[in-house]
Amino acid sequence: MEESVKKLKVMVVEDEELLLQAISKKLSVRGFEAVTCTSAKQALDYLSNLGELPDVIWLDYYLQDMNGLEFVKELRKIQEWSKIPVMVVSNSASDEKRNSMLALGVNKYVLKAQYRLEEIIDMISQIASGKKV
Amino acid sequence: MNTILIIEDEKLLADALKRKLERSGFSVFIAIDGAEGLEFALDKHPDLILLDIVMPIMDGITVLDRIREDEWGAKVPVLILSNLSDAESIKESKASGINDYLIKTDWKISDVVKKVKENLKNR
Repeated sequence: MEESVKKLKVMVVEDEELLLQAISKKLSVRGFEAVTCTSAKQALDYLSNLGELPDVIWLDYYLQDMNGLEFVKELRKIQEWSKIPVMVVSNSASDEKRNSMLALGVNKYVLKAQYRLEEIIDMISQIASGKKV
Repeated sequence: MNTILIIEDEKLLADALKRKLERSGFSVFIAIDGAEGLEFALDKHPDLILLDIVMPIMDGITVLDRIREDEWGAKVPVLILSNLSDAESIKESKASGINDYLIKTDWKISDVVKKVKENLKNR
């Protein structure tokens, strides 16, 4: 009943349920294993309980319970979690936000409006495979 | 030993739940889509089912309806585990006879295990 092929694992943290479903479906079609969370709290609980950590985290900047900056700071508190690459997907083009996220070691800060979903998945794929984007 | 069937397409989450439940002494099986879950449920008759709603091949609501049509399935406790918080999904699944509807973000994985125990105790 379980698959043996090793897939890249993407944790998607996004509080818009319909968008989350669309991302998850696209990731699945592209051969990724997705684990979806609608809040930062849920994502942190999953990270504490997953047998294998995700290869990359797809993070919406604005979540209802925490913003991206606070979430990444939480990640950085745990050594194992701090190694997980993070791509922030945001509606905000503020340089301040972008720079503060990049200063925390976030791998990429992407503006939702500038890219199609497929293009963002290409970027997450490269980050998950350890390539520079 | 009580057997639990997890019907959940996110394998990482299903594995995490399985591990937690096994530590509490349950025997746990995972199905990663609705059709596989339905087949397993009707064949093996688990003591409780944890069911996701949004899944490929067959969605959770259809699985639930088909389980409830079965003589054994009419009584098995089914806990819905979903990211969907909209009222329509909740209403739809309650009409088909669910025992609990857990919005994933409101429940820690360890709390889900407690909820499973409660539902088995109430049988």
